[in-house]
Amino acid sequence: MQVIEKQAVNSIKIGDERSFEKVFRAYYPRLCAYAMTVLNDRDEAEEVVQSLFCRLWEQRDTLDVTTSMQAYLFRATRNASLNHIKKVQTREAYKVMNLEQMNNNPEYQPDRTTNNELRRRLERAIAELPEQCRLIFKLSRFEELKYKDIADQLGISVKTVENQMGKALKILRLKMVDYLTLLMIFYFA
Amino acid sequence: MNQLYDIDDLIAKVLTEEATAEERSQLRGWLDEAPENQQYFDELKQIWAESEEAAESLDVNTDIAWAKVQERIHHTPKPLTITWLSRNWLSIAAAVLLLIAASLWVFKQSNNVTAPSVIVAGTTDKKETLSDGTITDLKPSSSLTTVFSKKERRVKLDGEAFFKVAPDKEKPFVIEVKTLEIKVLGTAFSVDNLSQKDKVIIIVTEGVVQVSGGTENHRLEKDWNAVFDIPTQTFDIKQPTERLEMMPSLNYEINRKPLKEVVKDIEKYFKVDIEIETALLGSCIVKANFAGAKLEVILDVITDSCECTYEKTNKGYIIKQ
Repeated sequence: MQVIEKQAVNSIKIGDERSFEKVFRAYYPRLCAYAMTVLNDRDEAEEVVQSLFCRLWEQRDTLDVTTSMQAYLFRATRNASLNHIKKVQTREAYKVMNLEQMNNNPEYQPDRTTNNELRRRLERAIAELPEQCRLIFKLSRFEELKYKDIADQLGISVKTVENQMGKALKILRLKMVDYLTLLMIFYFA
Repeated sequence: MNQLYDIDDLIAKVLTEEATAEERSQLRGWLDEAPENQQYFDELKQIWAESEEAAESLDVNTDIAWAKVQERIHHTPKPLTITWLSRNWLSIAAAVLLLIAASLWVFKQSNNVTAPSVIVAGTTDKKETLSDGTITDLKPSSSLTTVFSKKERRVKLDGEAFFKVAPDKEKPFVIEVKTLEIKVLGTAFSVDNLSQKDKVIIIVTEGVVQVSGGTENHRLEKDWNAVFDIPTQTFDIKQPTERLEMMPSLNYEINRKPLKEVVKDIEKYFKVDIEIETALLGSCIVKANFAGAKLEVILDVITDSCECTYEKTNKGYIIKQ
């Protein structure tokens, strides 16, 4: 974990609301999008992420972040979203909708305020990955889960996770290659 | 093609730190084979590094969201408890649940009293069996003083407590809450709740309970309820209506859930339509405890805890500010 993140965690632990606010503001839009991939409902996604932060603040003294802050928050968001679904018992509906609708959902528009062109392209490229490939990539990249954990969670073999991760990187490279070349020219110019 | 997939898998393993020492040296070998290989690896490495922060964002209003979170973390909800007791409890006898705001008590001396004993709950619930067999469950930061005489079993409550009163027809069990007295007669059982600092609600679900406060004195029978208003020292007594009797009841414990979710549960259970007027209201946090409670009572309690009201509409109910 980065030193700056460690400091943020420690500040939150001792009740520094400003650090908490900084973390909230830095991650809120991305966590909402992440919750959205599970919940497929904008209001519910926001509600789940807000509740998550409230719980985090309430239980700040027991906060234990062993991974990066991002991985911690992304994991917590997915768990909270899944719990939410369990509660409202729309899991079945979600499975069908989530597979089909995520890319077409008009409500699901990525934030356009990101200035970084590379990142924006990457966001789009990741969103366009095949379903299983994308899910595995996100679990590995954003939640920093080990292959073994991903395999256990999805009920697939570690070998499949390996294949899908390789496939994800390969596809992302193909989609990004023009842009990467441009970057390289920039680099050496 | 096959070869390419394998190398992608291997690179991915190295980048995610899943690779073994053997696999890492395998990759090094491949990188040394040709400069293109090194470039390919560098590209994937760059993508991997950049993608860390490439999680999509939702175009949400973070300012509003932060304001809501701030409101929630600074606004500790009022603890609320309403409990209806099931009929099986009759065997145990009377049960009374009281939730009251902190108050001072001047200990009343009476004849033939045993030494008063004080039970104080710290940060957790404290369960205790009194000398007469009555079981109490004292909530955090509450205290209970018991004075048992030959005539009566008197307790003074400061805070919140739950009672299962042992039957003793010779010695009624009296609970003092501020200026209110609740006397449990025979095998009655009742539930009391103080959701507001200046009100005590008593609902009798079985048997008879006698309440006295101010200059008033009431005998409450099964399914009656009374609201005692502390400032005016008066009672508002309601006798049961047929409709209330017919309605289903709900055992439900809400532990810090947003109103929106609570309402969904209630709608499902009672098969009614409940509308929440504004989205902001829906995020109000509710904490309550219902055992066998009826719809309108539940609505009373949850709307009280969110400092709002509800109205009956032709479709169902609407919760509004």
